[in-house]
Amino acid sequence: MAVTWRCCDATACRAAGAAALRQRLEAEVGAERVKPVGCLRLCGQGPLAAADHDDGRSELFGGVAGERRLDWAHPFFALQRPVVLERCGLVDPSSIDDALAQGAYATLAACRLRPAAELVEEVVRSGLRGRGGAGYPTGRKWQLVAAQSNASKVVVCNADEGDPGAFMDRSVMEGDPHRLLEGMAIAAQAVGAAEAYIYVRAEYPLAIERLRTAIAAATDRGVLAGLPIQLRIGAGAYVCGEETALLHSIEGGRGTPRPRPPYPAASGLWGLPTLINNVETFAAIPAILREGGDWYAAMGTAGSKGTKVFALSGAITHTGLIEVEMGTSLRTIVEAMGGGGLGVVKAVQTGGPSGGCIPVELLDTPVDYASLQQLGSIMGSGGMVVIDGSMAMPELARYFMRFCVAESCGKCLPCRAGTVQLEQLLDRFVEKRASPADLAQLEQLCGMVKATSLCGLGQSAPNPVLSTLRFFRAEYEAALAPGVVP
Amino acid sequence: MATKPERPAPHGLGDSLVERLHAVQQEHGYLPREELQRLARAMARPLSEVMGVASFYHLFRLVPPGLHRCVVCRGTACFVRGAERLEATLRQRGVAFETASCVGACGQAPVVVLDGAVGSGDPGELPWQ
Repeated sequence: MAVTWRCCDATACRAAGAAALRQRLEAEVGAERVKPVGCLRLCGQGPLAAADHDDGRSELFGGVAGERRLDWAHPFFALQRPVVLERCGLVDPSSIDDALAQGAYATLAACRLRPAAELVEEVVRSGLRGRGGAGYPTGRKWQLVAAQSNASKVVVCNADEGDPGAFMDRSVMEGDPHRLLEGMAIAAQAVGAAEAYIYVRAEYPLAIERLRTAIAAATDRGVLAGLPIQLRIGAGAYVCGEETALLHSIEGGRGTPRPRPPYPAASGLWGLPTLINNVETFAAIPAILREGGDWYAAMGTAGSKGTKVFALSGAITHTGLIEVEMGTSLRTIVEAMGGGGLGVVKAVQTGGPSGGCIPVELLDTPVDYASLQQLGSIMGSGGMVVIDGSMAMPELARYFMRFCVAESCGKCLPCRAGTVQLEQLLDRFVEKRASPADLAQLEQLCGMVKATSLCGLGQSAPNPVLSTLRFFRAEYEAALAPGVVP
Repeated sequence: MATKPERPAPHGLGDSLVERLHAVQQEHGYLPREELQRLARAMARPLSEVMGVASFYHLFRLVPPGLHRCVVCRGTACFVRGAERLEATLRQRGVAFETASCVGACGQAPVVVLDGAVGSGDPGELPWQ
């Protein structure tokens, strides 16, 4: 019985020894029966390889020697609903022939025969919201850019996935780069843009390599409908994930944000109307245009349609990449799919340095934009880090604050100086020498930084503090200097 | 007086200061002062602007790097799984290292990148004892 192997060749599996595993398999069955693919999801058990038998059976193995047999029927895999990731793990990311054979660019070709307004309307109907974090309705953004009368417009993809604990966009770019290019080309056609840029962070060398290969191959075959797509590489600045900072960085300058309006939809890159969406948003587009907006809107909840990719990590049994329907509960994700915590689960952190901690008592919360916001956290880009009981919350809050101190661009005072003050206050709680006045000042300063900072980085920097204060206030009070009663 | 040239259309890679700096760093391993001066002249921009951009981004180096590079990931998953202990171990063993905010390989946390290769930061598996 013949077997073909799909070997995960993404960053995490490479780190775990994917090259050695592939060599072994190639020696065993021959190179032509071993195919490199994108993320196979269960990163923590890597390196992963899937064996596809001629009779249709498929098995999954982990470890360089294939020593761990994994179960496709486990909820980690069974509860996934792949839309953005439908080809990730099946297609060879470096081969345009393989991508074309699996349907890449077919939707774009069909879209070229449809009026632009109809494409925009389809995205509006899908209810898709921006997957980069803020959740702005994608269709409305497309309408705004399409309505601009300028002759030249630009499409920009935000691939500056900077939230620590997030690797959804990396996986899409490494696993199925042609899907992103197709989504961007459809967007360009819908809004009437003639050039496109992808801004990728330099920390993702493999994603950059795969995109370069994909753009060259797609341009060569003429499947991009004549759209020139340029890659621009970041240089290690978290703030460049903010859209106006990102545009400044593409223009070649310091990546500092500017006040909005004007929004990029009216005046973006070099003053041109600019459609800017993140990787996962663009990657959802081909499926939406192929199956229809109503098909996509049938998934998810009233205010959050479709599916969302999450990067599950931290103190959890199964670390990896999942795509689930919006509205799936945190409990399902952490306990069923993630197999529960390594220790006692204390909280789930969502939204990175802009988000918050959801305590274990509230694990039944459905994951959608509104529910997470109600709890003082955010959907964010999709990083989900499980925190176990050994982690003290003031220490976790200080970790995120230090991150914001290091990444503040320095343009506006509340963020530049406020985050430093907040870090110093948090030091006192971590070292258990705080006073009740420090607690009051911590809360007041959080409110000030949130209300007066220029961009999203500063405005959301206090969120990890505020959310841990809300649900774990006792830990802050217990950190007051001995002898002080609040 | 250096003036900012009109931006030509379409916008090529050569117009982007960030991209030009990447090219210099790729060639030299860092951004030598003379190269920055040359770049400022070539792009008709003040040196202060070139320095401003070069010093803004974490990944641009203004001094030559060591022979080998060790980068410790400071992502949330790595933090939760003991990146601080890893940093302490490296310091104790006298290893100079840089840090990255997150390299996105959270499944292997805590992560260390040695000369570009992402690997496990388990202190027992580090090359220096």
